[in-house]
Amino acid sequence: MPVLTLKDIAKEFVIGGGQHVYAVDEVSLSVEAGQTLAVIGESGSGKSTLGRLALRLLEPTRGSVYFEGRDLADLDARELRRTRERMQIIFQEPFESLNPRLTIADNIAEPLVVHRGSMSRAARHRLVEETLDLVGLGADMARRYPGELSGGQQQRIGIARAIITRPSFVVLDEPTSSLDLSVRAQILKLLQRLQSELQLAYLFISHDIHTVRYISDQILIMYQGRVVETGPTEEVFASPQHPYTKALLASALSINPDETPPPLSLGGDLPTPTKKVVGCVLQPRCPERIDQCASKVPLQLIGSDHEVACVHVEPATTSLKESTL
Amino acid sequence: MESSQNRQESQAENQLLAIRGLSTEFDTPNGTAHVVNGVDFTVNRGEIVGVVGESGCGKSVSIRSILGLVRAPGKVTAGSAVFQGRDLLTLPKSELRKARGKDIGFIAQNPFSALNPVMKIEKQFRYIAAAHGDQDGEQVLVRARQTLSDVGIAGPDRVLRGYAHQLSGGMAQRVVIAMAMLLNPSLVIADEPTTGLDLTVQRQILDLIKSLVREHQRSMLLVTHDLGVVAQYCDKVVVMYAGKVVEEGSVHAVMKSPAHPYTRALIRAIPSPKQPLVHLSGRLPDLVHYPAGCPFAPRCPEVHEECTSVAPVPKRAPHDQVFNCHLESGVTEFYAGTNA
Amino acid sequence: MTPETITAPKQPRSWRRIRARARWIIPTTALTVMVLAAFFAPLPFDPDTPAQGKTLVPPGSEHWLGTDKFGLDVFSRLIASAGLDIPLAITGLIVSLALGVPLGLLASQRGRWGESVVRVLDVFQAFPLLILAIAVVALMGNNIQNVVVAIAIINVPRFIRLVRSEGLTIRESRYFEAAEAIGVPNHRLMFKHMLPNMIGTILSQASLAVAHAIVVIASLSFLGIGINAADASWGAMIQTGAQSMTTGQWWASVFPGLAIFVTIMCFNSISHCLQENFGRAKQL
Repeated sequence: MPVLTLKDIAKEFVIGGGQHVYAVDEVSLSVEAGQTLAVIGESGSGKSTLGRLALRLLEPTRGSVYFEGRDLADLDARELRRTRERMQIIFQEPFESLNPRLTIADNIAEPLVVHRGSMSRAARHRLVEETLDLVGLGADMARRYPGELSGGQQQRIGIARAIITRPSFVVLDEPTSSLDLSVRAQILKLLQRLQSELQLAYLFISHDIHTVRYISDQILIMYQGRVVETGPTEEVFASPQHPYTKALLASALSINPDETPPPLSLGGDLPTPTKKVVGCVLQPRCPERIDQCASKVPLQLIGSDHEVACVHVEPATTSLKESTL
Repeated sequence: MESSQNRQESQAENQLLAIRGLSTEFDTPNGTAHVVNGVDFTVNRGEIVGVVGESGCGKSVSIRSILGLVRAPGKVTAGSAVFQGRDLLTLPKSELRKARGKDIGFIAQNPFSALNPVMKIEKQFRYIAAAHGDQDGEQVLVRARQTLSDVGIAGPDRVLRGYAHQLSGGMAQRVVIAMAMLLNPSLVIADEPTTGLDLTVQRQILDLIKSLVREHQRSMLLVTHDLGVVAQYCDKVVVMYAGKVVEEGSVHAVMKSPAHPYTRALIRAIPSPKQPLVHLSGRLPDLVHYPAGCPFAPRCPEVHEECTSVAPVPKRAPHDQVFNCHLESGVTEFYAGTNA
Repeated sequence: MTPETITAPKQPRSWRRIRARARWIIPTTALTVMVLAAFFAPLPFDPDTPAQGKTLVPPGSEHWLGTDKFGLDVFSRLIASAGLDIPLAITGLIVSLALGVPLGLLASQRGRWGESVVRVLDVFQAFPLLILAIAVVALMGNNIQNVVVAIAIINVPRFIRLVRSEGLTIRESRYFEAAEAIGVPNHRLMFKHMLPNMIGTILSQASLAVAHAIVVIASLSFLGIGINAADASWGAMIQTGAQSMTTGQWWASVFPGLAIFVTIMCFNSISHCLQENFGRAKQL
């Protein structure tokens, strides 16, 4: 059973001028224990909003969030708070996500104070030290303050805080984007090690294609709040189907100067969010746009788990679907 | 004898910007931070040179030192930046200001901080032209329209009549590029011009900058932290660490057969399905108490005894790049795979 | 991006940095000395007993700052006033904080309640505050408790607004979002995550408010209301010495005026220090 499932999640915001904007529109996904589902998109894609919805830090306008089999909507405020012991989030900004007036130890121990009230101070202290060790930091860090640490160290603290109650699900919102190149690799490897040791399910939000390919098992590509393509990472990278996916992958620049990127297919800028669009969201920019794109374009299964929302794609025949069951 | 002298002369003729021994310090509460320490590199005519390094390596400060934009508590303490026969670091302020904008175009990272938020775009173009002695309003407008359409803006008049906040990130950066090109500079300096822009817009902007540079045989100095940008858009690359240049050479040489251990570590730290991810441990040295010897020594996977006490000297590597290291470079292709 | 630089071995925390600064040590010492002297130090003369026949004596070796028109020693009375004015101002502020801070925290919560509170405060603060203070004391009686009430009435709205404003900002911060994501309950969010991050600003403003309160107290006692007219207070001293100014005996008014000035400077200086060192947490 997947640890987290989102079904037809949508989130509507009302912005200035009474306009209704769908930050997230009809998104479904599921994440298994020990697996990483990456959500990739640019600004306005709704990926950060999706991460908050998955933890019910935001209330969805429509749709459901199932965590460990239970619909989070069925929980009252107190039960929801208690469930947070098992689902956590790591943020993009290492320094800003830590309380600057609390020591490192207090920052990391906060989930324990909240959820394991019966724990003695000594026991908490021990667990904090163990967790510091787990994220590769020395116990002497405990008494320092966030402002004294480097970005990489701060992010490790954020990770320590997220895993101290041994959650089963973690949302990672661009955890390495604010870090230097040489530090990113450290953090990615740490995250992988923790995932396998603690069998964590990761929802990994990112805009960096190299990172996403490296760390994820499944991938979900979002554009303007909708899913345009989803599937096993390697398969999507090997044969991207949606024009947006192709453009996105093409924008990842290879560090081998002999590998020139494919020509640009997508012109124009990212649109500002407007009213709900009927039909495909990529219409204004898509080089392969046809009349059919103006009507509703659903996600269609084209391979095992590989789904694409594009009119040019042939859905898998029923025989293929049956054989994958 | 003669041929080598000729070669030196033609080399010198070909050089548009030559940086030698550039050093800049900053006064901090903890002491004097040595942010740039003896940086050497050259930009030849028609060449796109990438300056790459992580945060704290001194690449942005180097650029600002060259352009005379370093103010207290910072100070350029040594070196020369010879551009078109004149040392920018010794030019009087008025001369330097003339050079900036007219002969050197600058593209900043954040277009919204480069554009004046309360002034119409049209007026900003006029300002630039007027600052360089061009008072003819009509002429400026014609040229502004031209540069705006050169950067791919379809309705230049609407943009000219509007304000910066009405533009998207990509559009704003295009306007900044147009302004940088207005006076037809021979050297363009871009400091992380696409960081902060969305992925699908980044390539558009980079393609645009490259074509504008190539079409008019301009040269460009491109500061970035993204090795992919360097590999795809630059002819030459300068790798910086802790205020020093650790490697300099053609993009082919450096990216495919990097000689310096730091360059290799950077390349290996980029996640790729075709090679194992090798991370770099440790941190930047304290710029206030700048270490003797090689600044990379504490983190270097190939460190030797002398590295911590003796500063390395520049050497040539097999593919003609120059690198600052004690090791002999016998390396050929250090990784056979590609990074896609 | 934060460069991965090695910082100095153990950076001093805010407390240690403050200790190193003389800028707050001097004013705090000065104020403490004044108040303690008022209560414990042997004064050269009894502040309430006039010296017979020695009215309006200019400053000299016997009466260091001279005497007023009743023959009371200015210096002794000056110090004695410090024992009234300063503790009174501080008490007023403590009461104001005790009420204003929790209300401000509550007002910073999501929902329209906070907005309504601010609207009410807007109306309230439209009144000139000194007039309000005078009205309170005049209506409710002439004693010390009412002076404290008057100071509280002036300052509680101020702190509700300040705390609410700081609170709203902190609610937008990433670490607050992180605390919510952890499941931290509301009361702990307010007292463990919000309050410590605004304490610097609050104390800094409180220090300024004490300075203002000194002026209010002096104004009230100058007008002869608020406290017992016979008690030593700088405002009252200025009052009694005011008439003598015109005939050239300046010392009975000027010295208490200077005392007020110095006290205010001290509190301003402390406020400045607090803001600098506790104001915003810094990435070193």
